[in-house]
Formats: sequence, C-alpha cells, structure tokens
Amino acid sequence: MTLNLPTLLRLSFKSLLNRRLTVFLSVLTIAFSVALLLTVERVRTEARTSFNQTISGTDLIVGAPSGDIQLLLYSVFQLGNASANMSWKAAQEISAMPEVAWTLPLALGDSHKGYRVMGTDAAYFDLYKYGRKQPLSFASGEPFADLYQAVIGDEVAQKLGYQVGDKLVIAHGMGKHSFKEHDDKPFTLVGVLERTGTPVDRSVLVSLQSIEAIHIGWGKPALSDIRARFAEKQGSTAQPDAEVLQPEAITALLVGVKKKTQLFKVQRRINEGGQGLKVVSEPLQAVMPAVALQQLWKLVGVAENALLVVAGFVVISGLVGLMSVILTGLNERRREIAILRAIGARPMQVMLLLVAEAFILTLLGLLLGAGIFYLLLLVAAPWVYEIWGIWLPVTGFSLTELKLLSIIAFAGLLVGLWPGIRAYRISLAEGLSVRL
Amino acid sequence: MVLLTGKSLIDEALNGEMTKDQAIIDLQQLSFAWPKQSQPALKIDAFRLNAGERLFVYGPSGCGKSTLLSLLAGVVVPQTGHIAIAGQQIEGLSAAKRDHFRADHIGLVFQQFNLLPYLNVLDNVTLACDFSRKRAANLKRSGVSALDEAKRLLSRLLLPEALWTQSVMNLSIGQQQRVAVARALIGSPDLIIADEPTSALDRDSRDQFLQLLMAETEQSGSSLVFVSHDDSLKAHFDRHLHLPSLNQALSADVTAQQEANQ
Repeated sequence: MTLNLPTLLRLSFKSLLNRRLTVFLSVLTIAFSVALLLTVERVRTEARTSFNQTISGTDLIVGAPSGDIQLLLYSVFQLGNASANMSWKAAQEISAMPEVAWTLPLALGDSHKGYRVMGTDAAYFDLYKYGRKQPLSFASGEPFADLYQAVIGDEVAQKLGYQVGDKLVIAHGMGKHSFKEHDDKPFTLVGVLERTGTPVDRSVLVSLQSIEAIHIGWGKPALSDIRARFAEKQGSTAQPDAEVLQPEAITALLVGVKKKTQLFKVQRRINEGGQGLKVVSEPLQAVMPAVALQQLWKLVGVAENALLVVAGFVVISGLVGLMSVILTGLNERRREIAILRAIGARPMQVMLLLVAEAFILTLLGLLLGAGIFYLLLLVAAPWVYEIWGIWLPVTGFSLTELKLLSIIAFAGLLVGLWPGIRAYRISLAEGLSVRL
Repeated sequence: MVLLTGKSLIDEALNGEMTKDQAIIDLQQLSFAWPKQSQPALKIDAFRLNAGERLFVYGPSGCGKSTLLSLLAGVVVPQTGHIAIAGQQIEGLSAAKRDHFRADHIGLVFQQFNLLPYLNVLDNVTLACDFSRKRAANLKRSGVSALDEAKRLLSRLLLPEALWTQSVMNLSIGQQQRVAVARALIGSPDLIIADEPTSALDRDSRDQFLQLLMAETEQSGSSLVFVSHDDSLKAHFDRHLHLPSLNQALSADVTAQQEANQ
C-alpha cells in the first residue's frame, strides 16, 4: 500500500503557502542561523588556510624573547608590535653559524598610509616563500637595488593606485595619518608584487639600509647620526656611506638551515643565546613557524569551538522555534486531520504530512540561509580582508559545510517527527470526530 | 490461472454495481466499547441495509450515533461481532487496510468544516481521488478525468462556476456542504455517510441540500446513511432507523455512561 507521497507533498506545500506569513518568519529564523553557522565555519577554515599559507620554506623565526605566538604574529602576520628588537650583531652571529643556509632580516615600525613598511634584504624576493613554497613574483618592475627604492604588495598598489615610478613618503610609526613623516626622503616605487593572499600584499618593502637612512637625525644621537650630520655639514648631498647605514637593530630574523636534521640544534643554540654555549651574544628566541602556528590554533581553537557551539545553538533554537510553530498550529488543525482521515488518509500519512512540512521549511531555511551567507561573503569579504588579511573566497560549499547542511536538513526531519507523532495520535484518538 | 480467475471474480464482486438485494451494510452480533470504558456504547444484534437504500438514522444525543458512524467508516472495530460493508468484512482488516477501504468505498460528509482551507473548491473535490485508486479507476472506466467529474458534480449541485477555483473560505456554509457532497460522491463510492450535514443550514438551504443529496446519490448508485437528531427530515428517506430501539447497550443503567462518551 503506497503512502502517496506526491499528494502529501502537494498538500504540505499548499498548506504552508496558506500560512505563508507565520511560516515565513520561522524560515527566516532558520535561514539566519544557517547563515551564521556557515559564516563561522567559513571564516574559521579560511583563517587557518590563510595563516598556514603565509609562510613556508622558513625554518626558524628569531626575535627578542617574548612568546612564540607573539613573535610569529608580529614578524610574519603584521599583527601587534615587537616588544623589543634584536641586535644586528646577533643577527650576524646567527648568519655565521655553519648550519645556517640563509637569513633574512626584518625591520618593522614604519608605515606608509597605514601599510607596514618592512626593511629587509633584496634576497627576500628569492628566499621568502608562501603557500606551497611559492616564491614572490613581480607584477611589474623589479626588486629594490638601492636606497630610497620601494617594492609594494598587490593590495597597496590596488588601493593607493600606485605604479612603478611613483614617489612615496614613509611615516614613522603606524596609522593612516601618521604624525611624523620622513618627507624629506621620498622613495621611488620600483616594483609591484603579484597578489599572494598573505600580509605581503599589504606591505611596502624597502632595503634595511633605506630604513636606517630615513632615521638618520631621528631619536637619540647615535654614532651613525653624528657621522651623517658630519657628512651633511661637509656639504655632501651624496648618499650616506654603507658603514653609516649598518643597522644597529632589527625586529626579527628569518632563518633557513642547510639540513632539516640540524633545525633543533640551531634552534636550541639560538635560544641559549647570551649564556652557556655563547654562540649568540644576547638572549633570543627562535621558533619554528609550524610549531608556533600549532600553538596558535590550540589557543584559538577554544574560541573557534565556542563560536561554532554558539552558532550551533542558534540553529537549534531556530529549529525548536519551527517545531513550536508547527505544534501550535496542530491544535487548530485537528479539523484538517479529521477531514484527511475521512477521505481515507492513514495516520501514517497524516504524520508524514507534518514531517514533510517541517522538512520543506527547513530546506527553505537552508536555501535562504545559503543565499544570505553568500551575500554576506560578497559584502563582507573585502572588509574582512582589509582588517584581518583573511580572504574569504566565494566558492562552493566545502565538505564540512555540506555535512553541516545535511545535519540541519536531517534535524528538520526530526523536528517534524514530534508534531507528526502528535498528529498520528490525534488521528487515532479522535478518528472522524468533529470535536473542536 | 485459477488464482487469477478467483481474484478477478472477487474484484468483480467488489467493483461491480451492487444489485438491489446485495447488502451494503451487514451487522451481526455487534458489540463495541470505547477504550477505557467497561460498558459497550453500541450493541446491535443484527442490521442490514440493501444496496441503493437511503437510511435515516435518528435518535437523541448519546444514543450511539457517532459510535455507529465510526464503526461503519472503519475508524474503529467492534470487540465482538461482524461488520460487513459492500460485502467486505472490515473487522478483520488492519487499520491501514480499513483506511484504504474507507477511501475507496465510503464518502463522508460532516456537520460542518468538511473542506481543507488551503485548497480551492475543485482541489477539495478531487482530493478524494488522490487518496483512492479505486475511485480514480472508476472514473477512468467511465472515461472522465477527476477534474471533469468534479466540475460536473459541482454544477449538478448548483455551485456557481465562478466559485470553483476560489478558496473554500469564500463559500457560504450551504455551498461548503454541497462541495463536501461532491467530494463524497466523486468516483461513485458504495456508501455515503452524512453526519448531521444540515444542522448548520437554514431551512431553505436545508431543503435544497437534501434534494440535491438525494438526487446525486441516486444518480451515482451509492447507498446513503443520513444521521440526524432532527426527525422532521425522516420523510425524505426510504428507511428509518431509530437507533435507541436497536442499540441494546442503552439500558437504563448505562445511559449516563453513554452520554459521557458522546
């Protein structure tokens, strides 16, 4: 004996259409909760992907002792600031270690219109790798080769509309309207990098020496400053000589080792700096990016899970709301049940009618929720990117997202089950009675 | 082969036109008590209604009318005794089979609110065919679609065509009751059961309704059981059943109990 599903679905649908106003609100509740859940999940996974892909090929990040995560965040992700610098001497000592293949100094602290300026070596463009060990590539121009030359990331170029050959002025400190500008020493833009999806897109890259050069005459008089002033007094407009531009301190040092097996040894030696083996003359901290990222996820994971759980509860409350709407409606629909029974509908069919209703509404909620989610992605993605550097791609659903959606769809069936069973009992108990 | 022949004979007996002397309702030694009730609500020694007959069942509240209708419709089954509708013993059928049997063989009209508010008039009528293959098959044999038959019945029942595609909420109670009759009649079921269908109607609507009901039941060859507490309607019917006289459960000591059940 058939359950006559097409007829039941048609009845469900028409019945829902008849109550579209009340029903629309519960669909909307579900839709928003679904959109919230999808957004949390999407931001969570994209944040991980984006962070994991930011740095690869670098074995150690070295900086002044702070915390592993802090060091990783300010050196690579441009989040937060270094609490202290490391000396140039220590950087050179690490460079000189026999196990070390290469080092890249990073000097941070200046900005251009809100974008971070990073002083480094020209070798950065060969040695820095992101994603799956991809090197940086130039959209136009070339690496900086001289003082007062700058290379910018894709987003800086897009947002500020810069092209190779343009002049830019670097400001001291961060902030869009920085208070002190080194405007007596404008930089020439020599290169624009391809988009990477990493913080490099939001960086202005200059040589370490350029950073030193613009700081001449700033702060306490250092030996280099005195020499530079001396040079200026002599009427020389030529660039300060190389010795003067040797930095005293840098923010962090990226290190590549020759053999991965020596990684721990190198890390230990650097961490023991200033004591014991005396390889490095000051206390430093070396972290492996992957390990620091793991620690970060452990820390962030709690918040992530909390967010997911909250979003999950919002979905549950949406479904419970739907159930209560259907249950409330049930009392007014005893008549309808009696009519259906009279024309031969079985209690099972009456139950299915209500399950189908809950399911249809949940599916509509899912559909609308997915729509809201994509709309949100489209609207919020550029904004999220600007603030956190996390790019939210408008792509199809991931496997996890599909799983979440199927679970909600299944829950929709279950939500219909309770009113369905109530309706089943009503049909059995009241039969064809016309009691109201 | 033999099995096939046997089956087709049964089909023939079930589907074919009822002859006059064939019983449409046959009750034997019937006794029924509602759940959690110690005393039976209905106890009938024997009752028989022939095909094509129109029966008027009357009696005061609590005499077991609703119980009788529930039994005839197969919503409940008697604890003892036999009940056969159109030749089919229904007390032995499973609940699902009884529902199926009701869809195929019985058209029901209630006192009021017979229609699904979210379907239009035509959809309400054809819905009966959606739940019964036999009714749909009956129509197919006569070469008409459910929709055409619904339209034919509605116009025979004097329902203005302008209302057919409208929501049933726009109809007067009298019109709603006629739509309910169309739904009960579509696909020519063997038995029409009407439970106080006129009690919400004024005198004029009531008379018109009764006339149309009689004419169309006759036309479709269905038998009719009409239940009412208003015995002034008696005259319209071939046979009358004063239920309190037939129901042996209604001895003085259980009357109070019966009233509680109704």
